[in-house]
Amino acid sequence: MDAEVFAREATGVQQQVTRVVYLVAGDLGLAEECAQEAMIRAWSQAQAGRMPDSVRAWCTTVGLNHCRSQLRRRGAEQRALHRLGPPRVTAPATPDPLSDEVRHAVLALPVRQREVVVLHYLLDLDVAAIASTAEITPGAVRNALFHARKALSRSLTPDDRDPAATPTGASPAEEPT
Amino acid sequence: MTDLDRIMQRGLRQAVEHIDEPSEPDRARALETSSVAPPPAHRSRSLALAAAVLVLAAIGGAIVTIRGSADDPARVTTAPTAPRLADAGPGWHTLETESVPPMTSPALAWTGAELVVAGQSPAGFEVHAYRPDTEQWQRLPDPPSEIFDSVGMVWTGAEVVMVDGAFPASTAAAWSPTDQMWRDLGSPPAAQALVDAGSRGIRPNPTQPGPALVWTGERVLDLTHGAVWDPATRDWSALSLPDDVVAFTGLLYTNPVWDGTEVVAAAWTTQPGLAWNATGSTHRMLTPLPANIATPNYVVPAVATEFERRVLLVSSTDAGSVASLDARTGEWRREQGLDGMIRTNGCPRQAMSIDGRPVVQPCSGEAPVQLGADGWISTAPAPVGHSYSGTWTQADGVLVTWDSNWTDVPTPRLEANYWVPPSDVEPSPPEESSVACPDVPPEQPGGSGWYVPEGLPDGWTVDRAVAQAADSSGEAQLWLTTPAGNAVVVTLKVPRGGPLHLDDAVPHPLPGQELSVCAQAPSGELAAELRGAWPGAYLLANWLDAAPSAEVETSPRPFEVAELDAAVAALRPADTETWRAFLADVESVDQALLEPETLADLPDET
Repeated sequence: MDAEVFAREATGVQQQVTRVVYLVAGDLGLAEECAQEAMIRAWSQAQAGRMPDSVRAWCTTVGLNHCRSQLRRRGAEQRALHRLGPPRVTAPATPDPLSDEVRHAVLALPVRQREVVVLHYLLDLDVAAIASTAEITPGAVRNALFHARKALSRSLTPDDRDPAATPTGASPAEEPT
Repeated sequence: MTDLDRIMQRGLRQAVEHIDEPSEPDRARALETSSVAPPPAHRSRSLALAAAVLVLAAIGGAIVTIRGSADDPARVTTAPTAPRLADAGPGWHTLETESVPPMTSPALAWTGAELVVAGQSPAGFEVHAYRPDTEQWQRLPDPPSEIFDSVGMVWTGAEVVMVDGAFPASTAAAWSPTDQMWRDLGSPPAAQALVDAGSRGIRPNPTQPGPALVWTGERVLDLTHGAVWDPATRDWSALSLPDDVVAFTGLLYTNPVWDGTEVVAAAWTTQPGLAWNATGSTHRMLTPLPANIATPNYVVPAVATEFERRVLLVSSTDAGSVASLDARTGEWRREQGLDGMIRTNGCPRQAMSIDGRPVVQPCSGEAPVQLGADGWISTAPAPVGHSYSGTWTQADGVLVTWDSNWTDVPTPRLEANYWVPPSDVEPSPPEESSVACPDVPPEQPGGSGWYVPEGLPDGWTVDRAVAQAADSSGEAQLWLTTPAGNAVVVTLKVPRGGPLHLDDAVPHPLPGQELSVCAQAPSGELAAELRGAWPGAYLLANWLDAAPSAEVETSPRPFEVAELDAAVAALRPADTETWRAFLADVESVDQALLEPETLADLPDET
């Protein structure tokens, strides 16, 4: 495959994968590593004539897989989660306290739910795309998002107000189908 | 969109605003420090090319449209099926292995497109893969965990699961041909009863160098460690074992067989064998060999393979006696023996079903024999020098034999051959499901809607019944609460685009409690999501999540099969016509359901 074609396809992908993995793992260094790994593997695939249909989606899946694998190597996912604590931020902190609050709320979720939340809210993927990217069933996507939203409602609304219940528009994620 | 949705979207996007596309020096540095090493021969080239590509991207700096939107499913181009080995024609052929080192105690696995070989080479543990379509070998990256012993490998339809044979402390990993990467699967938890038995020296020599692994379509059963790997939850659990496991340890090191319903381990003895269900959560004792067939009170090793949904057992002595067991009925049947072919105790060591017919190697160095319509037929002659020994695997309908050992002196040995069965040996036709499942209870009377939640056992409640099928992926779910307060998500999956035509499913109403009994045997060409599937559908219980969700993710409670069976029994559709209507409904609504691009736009019900 022509390198220039791949370069066009891959533009911006590394940034997206870094962002997704960063929110899932809470570790910017790990996120950069996973994104880089995904890019290398994508190029390797392209070289072998097996160019993914969507480099963006393919790299996101591989990046998340590599992230999960790395987390597992550090120990069980749950232990890794508790041990990680605040993410190692190597970039300037965001000025908006809301983003830190949201980020920490997401990091408090199980890894599977984190992935689904990030893919849904950051990338705006639909059920099928999340299922394909995270390599789980669509039912598991809804289940994870349902439980994640409940947990996020509790952690992001200390006044016990449940934003998921506001009648501004029902999302199917509120109840698993 | 709710307040929570807005908070999450805004918060997450702001949280990553500071992460920009890496600069070129950062990319180069990251490339150099990438932690997962590609094969040494490819690594430097890959890094250089990737760096060059990314430099090009940085120089170009153009905003381009990626083919497909960010909402596109991650459609990964999978390796094409390439039945090139069989193209060589009937008989024995040599497999080119010039770029592969001799490996000791190699393990083999066929992925549908690649032959994966792993073993200890002079330079350490190595894994290589051969693609018949390109006739090329590729060294795969090293697995993420250290390997201490001989490994076992099994293909699950999506990954090659590899387990180190070290006992009790072991490691496991999975190779994904699609992602071209390993996943660390942690350590299979060795059953305490086996650890205790091992400490007393009760650990018979296995017939294969690595652990005995079986893929059931749902789980990987590791009989050597007494553990079960679930790819869906990505977690290990304990294999159900008898209390007096010491009396059965010999069976755990035979070659277990998946007969389409259960994993069967049997030996040539009047003592009972063992059978496990597809999830390894329950076991039972098998009807022992009749005394007029077996060698009483003496466990004689035997090799086994699946044959027409029966387990074919070949005695290693007793003049090569052969018997077969229908594990579902407990019926043993004497088969034509390998008369006079077994000359040495310990033979045969290999048995495998190739193209639907059993193939057995009588003794080391001798040509394998295949069970034809008129008895056992030798696969010989082979060209001079061909080895029939070593490790066997089935690869795309042919038998691959791999004979290698780098510790052989003076010359390390490596000879790989494959045998294409003759076309005049007709493969046995698959049994009809109606024959395989004679005990399916009669259809229950229907209720309103196409699901029939009425008739749930006492204590069960329906959290959310799905009155209509199915979502955009052809699934419908029923949410139940067990008497213990656990939630169960039951998913009905309708295969689309797979090898099973919808019409094939119509004669079968949604299965009831006989689901696990009637599950089809895994097939090499079926899509991963269809493995272990009922013809036309399968029921998938995602997990029980009464525990806090954080715990469910990493340590789901072992699934109680009896609970599921009771629930599933209540989910039978009204009748076959209802089932047919469901399938038609799925097809008609499918397109409309695929159009929404976001989760919020997806209809809740159709």
